[in-house]
Amino acid sequence: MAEPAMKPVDLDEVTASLASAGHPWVSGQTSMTILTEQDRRLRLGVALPPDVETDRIIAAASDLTSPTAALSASSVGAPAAFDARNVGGANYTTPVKDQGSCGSCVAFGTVATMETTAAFTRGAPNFDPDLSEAHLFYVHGKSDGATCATGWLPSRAFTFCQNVGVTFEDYFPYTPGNSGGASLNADWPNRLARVTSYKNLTGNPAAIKEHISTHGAVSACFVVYQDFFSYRTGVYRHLTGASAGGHCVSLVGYDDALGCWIAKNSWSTGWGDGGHFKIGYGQCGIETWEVHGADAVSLRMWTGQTKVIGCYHASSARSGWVYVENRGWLKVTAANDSAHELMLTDLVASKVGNRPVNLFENGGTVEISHVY
Amino acid sequence: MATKTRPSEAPAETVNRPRDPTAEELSIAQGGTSAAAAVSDLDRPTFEPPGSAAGAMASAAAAGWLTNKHVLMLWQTTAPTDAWAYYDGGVGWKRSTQAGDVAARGMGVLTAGARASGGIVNAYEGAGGAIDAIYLW
Repeated sequence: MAEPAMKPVDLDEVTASLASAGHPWVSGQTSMTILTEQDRRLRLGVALPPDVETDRIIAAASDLTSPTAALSASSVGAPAAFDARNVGGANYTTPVKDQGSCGSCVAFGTVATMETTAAFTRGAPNFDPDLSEAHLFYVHGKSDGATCATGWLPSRAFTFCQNVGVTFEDYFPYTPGNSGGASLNADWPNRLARVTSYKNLTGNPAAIKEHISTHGAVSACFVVYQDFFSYRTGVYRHLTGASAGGHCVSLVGYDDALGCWIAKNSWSTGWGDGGHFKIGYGQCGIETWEVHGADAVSLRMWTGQTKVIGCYHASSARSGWVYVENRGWLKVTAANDSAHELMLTDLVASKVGNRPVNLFENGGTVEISHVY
Repeated sequence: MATKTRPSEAPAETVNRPRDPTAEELSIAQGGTSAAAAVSDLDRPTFEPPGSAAGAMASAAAAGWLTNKHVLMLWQTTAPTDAWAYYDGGVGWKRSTQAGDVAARGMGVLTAGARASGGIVNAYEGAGGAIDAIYLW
């Protein structure tokens, strides 16, 4: 990673700057301010580009706050505000995690985005998928040259998420630097989440808003300044302190009235607003550096015990579907007429008898059904 | 055309001449478009479960759909695609899809399940009067 200025966070200086600016956000002791400067920087896992390019990224983001650019959200039909944590009372995000002392924020930002998109696009707020950052960073990232010290790039991470996929946390639990010594479960191809396709939304805030409001989240990078480590709540705008490095998070909402993005970080719930933060439009390159969104997340896995809530059939052959709790609509196998009819019969019987099921889903289709 | 039967009625008379075209068939003959294009949109479900915000919106906007019904009776003769279901709410007997044996059998599984469970049904009545899609909740 590039070596930015070395002066660490000074809480008194941040407090004074906030006071003179009219308290736009609130600072305080956080899980980051109590660390050494070296440990803080280890959590910034996106290498800053050369100074000229970093300056261009920050200037480009700042330019997007002009009135003309600010109007562009409505031009794509996006709502004025969206928060994946509260969509009609439903929370489509997963719990805040802690990357610990490793520059693996790209894995956390990418996985958090996949998890939110997987739940939101299924209309299943209680799905709560827990994907493996360890698989993404210590296997895919490692094969791409990424380490805790070097960090990675979201564009590379999304490529692996599309081409190979990521297993679930229980198949490769994360510890910083894999200090826990876990390894990838050999059955991982049968417990896998894969990005079907993704978009590079860098530099297009209207498209970012449109994607967040229709898919739940995007991943984004930005330049972290020293005052950011002490953020507690409010809308963050850089006031004081030198740059400390580059960081990747998941944007899960925005608010045009407040002029900010709503982000999910990976520095534990002891940092920020329960692990989340708001950052002003045009701040720190948040819209202009590696912004990506998944179009959908395909699953290949057993559902675990669940139940069939609804069934559907149309006037074409093998057109049976079942609505599964916390998964949404799944197509009944269309391998052949007999398998389709027998599986549909079993699943309708489970619905009629209110009996639990365990289904093996592959890309939105039920391939094995077990009715209890 | 073969003799047609209906549940709860005496067999209909044998039809010895081409039946009168439906309004849709007439429209097609005159160069119009078929509702079949819309039916193809039925190939995958779009409604969400009742009670969800999306489900309520879908039901309210369900033009062409019989919504929030129950299946009270079933009828089947020896003909392969002669399954009928009786819907409540003043709807009465509706024939299941005529789009082929396989589709009719699949839909029959749902209507049988609807009768057994007493669950809520949303059904789409196609241009020919047959049920071309069905949800069971």
